[in-house]
Amino acid sequence: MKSISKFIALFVVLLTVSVFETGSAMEFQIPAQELKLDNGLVVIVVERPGTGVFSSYIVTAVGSANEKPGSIGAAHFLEHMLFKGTKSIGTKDYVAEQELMDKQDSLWNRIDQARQQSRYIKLAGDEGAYQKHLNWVSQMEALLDSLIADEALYVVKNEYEELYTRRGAVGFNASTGYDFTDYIVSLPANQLHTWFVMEADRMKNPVLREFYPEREVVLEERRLRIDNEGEGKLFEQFIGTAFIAHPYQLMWEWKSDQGNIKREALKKFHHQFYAPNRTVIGLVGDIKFSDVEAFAKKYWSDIPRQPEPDPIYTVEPKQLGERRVDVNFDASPALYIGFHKGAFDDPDEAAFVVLDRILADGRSSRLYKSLVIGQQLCSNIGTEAFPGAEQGDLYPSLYIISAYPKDGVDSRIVETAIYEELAKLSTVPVSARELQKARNNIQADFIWDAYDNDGLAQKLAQYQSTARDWRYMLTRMEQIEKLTPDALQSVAAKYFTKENRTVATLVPIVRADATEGGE
Amino acid sequence: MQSRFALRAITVGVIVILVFALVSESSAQDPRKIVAPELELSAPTPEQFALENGLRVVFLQSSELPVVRMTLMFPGGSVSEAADLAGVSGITANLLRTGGAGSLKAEEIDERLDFLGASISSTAGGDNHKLTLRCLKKDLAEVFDLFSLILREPVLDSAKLALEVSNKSDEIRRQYDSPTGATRTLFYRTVFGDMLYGRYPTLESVASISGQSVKFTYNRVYTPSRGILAVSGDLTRKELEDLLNTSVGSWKGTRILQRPIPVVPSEEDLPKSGVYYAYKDISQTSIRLGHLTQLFDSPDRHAVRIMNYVVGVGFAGRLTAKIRSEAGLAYSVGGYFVNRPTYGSYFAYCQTKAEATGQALQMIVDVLSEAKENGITQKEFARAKESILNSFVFEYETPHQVAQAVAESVFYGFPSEQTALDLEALKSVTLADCNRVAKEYYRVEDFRIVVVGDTAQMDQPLSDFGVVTEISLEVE
Repeated sequence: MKSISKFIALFVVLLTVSVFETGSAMEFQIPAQELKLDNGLVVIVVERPGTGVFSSYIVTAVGSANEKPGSIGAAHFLEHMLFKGTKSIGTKDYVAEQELMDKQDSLWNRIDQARQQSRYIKLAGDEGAYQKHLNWVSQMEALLDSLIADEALYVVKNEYEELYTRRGAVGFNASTGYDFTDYIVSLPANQLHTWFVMEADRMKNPVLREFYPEREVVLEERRLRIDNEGEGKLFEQFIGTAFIAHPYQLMWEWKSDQGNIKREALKKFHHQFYAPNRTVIGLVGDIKFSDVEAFAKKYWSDIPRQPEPDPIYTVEPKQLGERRVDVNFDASPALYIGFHKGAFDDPDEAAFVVLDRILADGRSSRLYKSLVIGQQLCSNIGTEAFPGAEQGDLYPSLYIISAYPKDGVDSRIVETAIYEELAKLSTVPVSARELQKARNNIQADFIWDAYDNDGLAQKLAQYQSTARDWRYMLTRMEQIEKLTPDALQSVAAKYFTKENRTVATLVPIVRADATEGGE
Repeated sequence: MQSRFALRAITVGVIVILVFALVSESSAQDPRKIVAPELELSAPTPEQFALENGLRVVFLQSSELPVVRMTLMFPGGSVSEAADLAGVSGITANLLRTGGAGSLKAEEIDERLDFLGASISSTAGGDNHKLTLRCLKKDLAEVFDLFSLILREPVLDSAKLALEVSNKSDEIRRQYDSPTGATRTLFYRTVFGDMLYGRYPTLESVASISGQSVKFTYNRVYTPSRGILAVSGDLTRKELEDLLNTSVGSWKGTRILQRPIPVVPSEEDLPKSGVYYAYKDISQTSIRLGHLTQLFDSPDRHAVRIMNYVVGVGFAGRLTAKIRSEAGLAYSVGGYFVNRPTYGSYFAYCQTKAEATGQALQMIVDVLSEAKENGITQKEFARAKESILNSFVFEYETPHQVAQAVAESVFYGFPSEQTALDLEALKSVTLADCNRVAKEYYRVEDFRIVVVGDTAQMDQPLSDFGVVTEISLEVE
């Protein structure tokens, strides 16, 4: 019986760019080829002969939106742990190492249970018993520390990464989003075989070693990006205010969750979500499709498909009025304004792509021209979507304007100036030239996206993961071509309303020494 | 008008070969045993020529995508600014792009570029000024016209200068908001003093920047005979020559002014080794330590690169292995040599929870002292050398990268085939070379240790690491 059926097709994407002023036209091609295995794995390949290198971009259909209470932080923490090696890479003795990890985990479970008991033992009022309990906990913590130190006996430190870098890898990294988790690396062109073996091994046999130190590393990452950065803090509160139900509301794992997550929870998460039917691979560079096909069959076809996990049923309820939040922090003023909008396949999504270009792409865009160059209210202004995948997000998302008021400018003034620009979009149709300008930029970027191997691999893999067909990037271009000024105006009027917006303001903490001399 | 194009020596072609020892095929599932086929890459060699006015051009044709990129570099930058005008090079560079040019208002230029989805950017770095262009091939004539106009006839003295000064002042007021940003700035100020890469604009210095000082900077920096232009993309040599001839080829610039010369620090002008501490109410301490180096054109730089790869670079580097993987004390930790003309610097850094500050700082110092004392092992050396040599193909990944590498080599006074020479030099580095340079270039006793955080939350006094000097994060 044939175990693999495959579907291969060569799709040459033709993009006709028509130019408004000169009437000249050009064609642009992406010669992408597609491979699908029986277990659901999809690989999209663009051959670029002669460059000596290739980039890989793996998108796994899992992100922090898939976390549930009890495993908050699992997606990001697991992403870190998937750099720790496998049953055969990163260890001197996997069996002994596994035994040690089991001991660590059962001890952690006992410590965890004992900590939960602490408040009741304290309430009981027997000070001696309480002290004894606390002493026992700290003894067990010391014991856990020594079991963690024992791991050094078995761990071959960072061997997984070393195997890649010795073979010339660059840009070995990963990132965790809300809908997807991405794994990337670029290699010399002769390392395709190694790449397939390494990534199949990571999918099949990951070992979550050095678990407890890495749990702390993730907390340091939080302290770095969120806790001690004004914009990080502001953004976290902003997102938590804009979303009250949908899992997009958790910008980052909370310290209290992350510090207590269990290895078992990560293993379960991995088993459930990391599977070939939830994986898309983009490969772009100096490689041959026939080699990709042979290696994919050989190393990936035996990885079993997993049943679809529970869908995310939670729908963010309609916002009923403006929401505002202040964050006091030792940093300069900043302002975020967010408007709820749809998911990637919402009929209004193409209009948002164009409206965004009109508002904030380039020095001649409306917000920049008005607030930075004209009224000079802020030194910079930007827009983004949240979670913000280029192709749109799986669930209804947020359109965000961020501004940095200049010294002495009240952020309310900046806010008002922004609303004035949004009101113009809602009441006056954009000119044909302005619409064409946005289209020209979108088309130019479509071509520039193919400049780097990793950028193209990313785009192909992300579109495929989101829309389950990478050619959706062309559908999007067609939707944009069809947009009219009237359609843009009605989308602006529908979304840029007071009741649909959330406003977050960073209010600088006035330091004590700066107020001396006051009352 | 026909310009004369002098063809300069063509660089040698480079072949990068990756070879792995042959091991039996029996265990193909073990990535350690996979034999990679040889990889031969004929690196493309850009063409080089010079215009009559002295502007040097490096050109690499590539027709895969219908796009063109250009990067034009001039010597200058913040290292050659007078202290009381710190910030003038950046503001001058910005004004080229934002002030208008010829008879065109700034807003017209913005509109025309944006309409085409093209970009021209103008920036000043530490030791250079750059003007870049990015556009679709079909728009090249129009975009290059604007590029040429911006270069030759920028309007520098207008209300736009006040806007640039105001935006720069805003940036200065925000410079210590981020703990890691503050640490970086304080580190360079401490290592270089108020010179070279340690000189930062202040509210006072940018307020004194006048139209006259901007014009002077423009005249001094933007001179064709000192410039080098890297071009790559979908056009022929002939098309490029015609394009350049119609505009930039006849540009004379101002030849009378002396080229910018950086002020080089002498030891006694610099802050002494020790701890430089700035208070910030944060739960994670930010640390950066290091010292000056002079490696830019030193033959030792190749051995230093391999040696430091073992100690400070990547996950497998000793600093990360010890402080992140084993101790869980930091998300981001590492150590790097930054090689610049005149002086560069070495720095190691990490961010760790306040209560682990002393522990993490001691670990960094210990790792570097150990490397200085005992060097690296044969095994580590082999891993680092293989990693660096095998990733060398990425130096040739995109056409513009190749053209720019040649342009930068020439710009900084190296042979144009320097990238290939670097490869040969790296191949010949030995373990003994690495262990010799480890002793010389990790100057533990010279460390300037910059710490931003809250000593009240820290596990040990900073005075354990040297004489402590307090710095204020108030922006004046």
